[in-house]
Amino acid sequence: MMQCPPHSDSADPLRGETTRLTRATARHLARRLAFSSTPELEASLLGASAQDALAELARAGRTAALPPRPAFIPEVWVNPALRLVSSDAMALIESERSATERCAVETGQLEVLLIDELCAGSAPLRGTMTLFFLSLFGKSHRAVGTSKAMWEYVYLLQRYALTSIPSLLRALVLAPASLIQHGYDGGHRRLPPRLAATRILDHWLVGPGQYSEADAEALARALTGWSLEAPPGRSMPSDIDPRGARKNQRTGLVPRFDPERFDGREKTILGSTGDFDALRALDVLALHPRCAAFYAERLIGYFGVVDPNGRLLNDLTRVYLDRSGDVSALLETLVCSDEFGSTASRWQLIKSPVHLAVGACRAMDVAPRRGPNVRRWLKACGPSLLDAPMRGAEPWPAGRDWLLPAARLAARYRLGEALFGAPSALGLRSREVEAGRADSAVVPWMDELDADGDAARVVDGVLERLDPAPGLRPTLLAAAANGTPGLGLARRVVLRLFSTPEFQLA
Amino acid sequence: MKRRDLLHRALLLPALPMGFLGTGCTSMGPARPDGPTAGRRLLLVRLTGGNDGLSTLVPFRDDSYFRARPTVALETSSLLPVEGGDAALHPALRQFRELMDDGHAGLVPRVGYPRSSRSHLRATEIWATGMTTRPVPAVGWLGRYADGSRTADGIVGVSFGDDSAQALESSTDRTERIAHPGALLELARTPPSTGTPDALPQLAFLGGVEARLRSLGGDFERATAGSGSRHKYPDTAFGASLRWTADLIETGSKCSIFHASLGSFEGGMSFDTHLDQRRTHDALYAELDAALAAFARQLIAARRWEDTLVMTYSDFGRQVAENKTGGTDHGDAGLTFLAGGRVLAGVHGGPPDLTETSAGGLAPTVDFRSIYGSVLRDWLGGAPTSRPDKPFPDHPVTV
Repeated sequence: MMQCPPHSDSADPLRGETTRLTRATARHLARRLAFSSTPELEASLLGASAQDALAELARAGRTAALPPRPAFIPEVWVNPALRLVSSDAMALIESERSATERCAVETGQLEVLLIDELCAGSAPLRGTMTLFFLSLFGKSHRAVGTSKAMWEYVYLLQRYALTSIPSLLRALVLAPASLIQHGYDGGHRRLPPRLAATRILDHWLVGPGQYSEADAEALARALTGWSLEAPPGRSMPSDIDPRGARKNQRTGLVPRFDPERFDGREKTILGSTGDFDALRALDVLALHPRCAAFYAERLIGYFGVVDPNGRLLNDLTRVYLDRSGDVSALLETLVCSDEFGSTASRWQLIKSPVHLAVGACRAMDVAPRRGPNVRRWLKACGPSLLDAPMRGAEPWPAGRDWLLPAARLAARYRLGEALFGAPSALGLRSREVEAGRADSAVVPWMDELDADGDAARVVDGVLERLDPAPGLRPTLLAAAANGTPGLGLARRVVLRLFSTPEFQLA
Repeated sequence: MKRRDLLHRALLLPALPMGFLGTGCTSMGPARPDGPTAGRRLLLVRLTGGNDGLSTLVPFRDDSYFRARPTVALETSSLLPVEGGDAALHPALRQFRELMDDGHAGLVPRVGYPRSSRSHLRATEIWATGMTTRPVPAVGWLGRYADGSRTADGIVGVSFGDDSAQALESSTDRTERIAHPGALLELARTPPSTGTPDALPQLAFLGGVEARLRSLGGDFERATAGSGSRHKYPDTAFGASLRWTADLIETGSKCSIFHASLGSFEGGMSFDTHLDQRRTHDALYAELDAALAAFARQLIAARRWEDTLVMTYSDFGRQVAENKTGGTDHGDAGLTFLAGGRVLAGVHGGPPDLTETSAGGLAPTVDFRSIYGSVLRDWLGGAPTSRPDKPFPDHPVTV
């Protein structure tokens, strides 16, 4: 394994440090790679090299078991809205409505399970990278319409999160959620799915403005030939109405290639020529230099690194190409860079809502316990985990855009109510905020602080544990001791800390 | 003379000078603080999904209405007659009819634009921006008005709900979308925390956002002393939006433009009534009726009704003929509700000829930009901010 070079930026306060992690650098790394620091994580990182720390986080991510398929996700999906020649129009519409509602409910359950996994799982780096990919090409249950496809999609992201980007893209291009959402399920050479090609180029491969119309048309032709069908051997009704929309003709979620529908002619995409199908096109394009630069830029943005000279961008692009998009190699380059450790990069990342919530849970060592509350809070702060903007046509916001509209900051400040189960100020109808009814489930470190009873020490303990950006006035948190009767002092201080700008940063 | 009598006079007036609206419906800055339109408020209500104007104002004397809608048509005996007698209101709009009778409400049928879009997304963009051309601007028609604000510092427009109200999108942070007023109140009630906000660039940014929200939150805090609780608003998100709006107006908020939505694609009902239209309309019109009535009562009691204008818009109207699932499909021209103390009351025009359709929809007789122009200039008192490419004659909606 390569060794991180010593940091060389003379203006950087890290200068002179060895590559061994100090308390400050260990916490910085933990905030970015593992949502937040915890006493246990910090202890394991102190004194280690950055790359050893990363390797350990990656090992944990690769060895941790993937969450099993929930009981409410069927092994074989049956389309409840299959349109037969004999179907009654009203009954079909009712079936569709019922299926949509069921998908929304089950996707909500999936979100809760994902939140629980992120908060309490032993693979925080895998979670961080899962969210990175979800932020780029998230899916919307409203566009996909089946929770089974949504679950498979999240499973793939988790499974490939720490492997390589080309292998992930290869898996995603045939994921049912991708075929449905981007509309190349049933794609035919006579009508190549142009919009799907544009979205894949924009969000998966190179970004807007980095390809020509001809590239998009060629990729659209490569995407033809695939459709989602029933598993082999499963009998289907013979009178499926061919006039129905694709969603009413889909017999299953197993991708099947039909050469008759495929456009097998030669295609040139971003300078590469061949008779590509979807898989081969992704194989080639995922190793294109523009794709390398695309992921380099997005990793820098996602991890909140300031790269004033573009040096890290160049390094990551080169490593992506040299190591075929290997995620561990990319993360090592990122973490070992001067830019990652620089003063400018510290505390400059505005946490995404899920980063905020999961980081708080992990730092406090509390599972959310009220997953639906956390999910509701996440929805108030931005796009839901499995309902990406514009029905999945747009990536998640990033950086300061998380605060568009600005009132989302007010919603973010109510995190404590979601985590502690207090009646929430969220919602248009809620006029009165009922504070002070938060639960008091045992959280040993908080209870120990409360037992001490000294307000200054409680504040210090909370700040030490939850690690906000510098600048916060402890006296202000101490003033929280005067409010919210019925809650322990430590919890009151935590609730107040959540409603500060300092806690929004990593 | 009753206000509704003024309508007929107003409509007979020669076209007002043109010059501030075009294909690109440009906008006007807000009124001077000391001008005759100072203190006026606009509440824009979106009827999400494409309201069927023929179910709002029913041409019950026209047999072709019943022939086109054998199951969706409303029974004549249930309808609420309005002045003129050729059309009548949906039975759930009882209180709105009373507002009309009192000269406080009006209806503008057949509002739209040529070559109307039947796509929800595109139609919403057009209504929100006042632009039928591409590229679609990011700023809405009222957002442009807010951008030109010179009446006050801070936020001048508020939209309620989770959905983005594109009409109020501004480029200068003069409008804000509020989905969680309770969270805003809490923020305003807690003291600022940052000791050294300039120490970190992102802290400075967040501190600025927080300060802006604190200012608006102060308005909401004062609004909790409004008299909304004494009026019967529906216990719904829409009802809450109108109650907050009325409370803010009553308690002197500097915000002059508000936006609320009735109906949603994200669950619950919407005006996109492809299915089961009658049941949906019964519920939605009842909610609209109750909320508007409470809003009017509160502001009349608070003596702010004369300074308030309520106007609705919707994605499009619907086709004349019903479909096979007890509803109607996307059409063209729709209908605009008006309410307020100085509104041109009554029905602005005669009933449509239902045999004159294009692809099943009704052609517009009033361009929506004509109404926008009238609202911007006559009601809000803005000044032109750019020359029009293609002006539209005003359609006055206030006296």
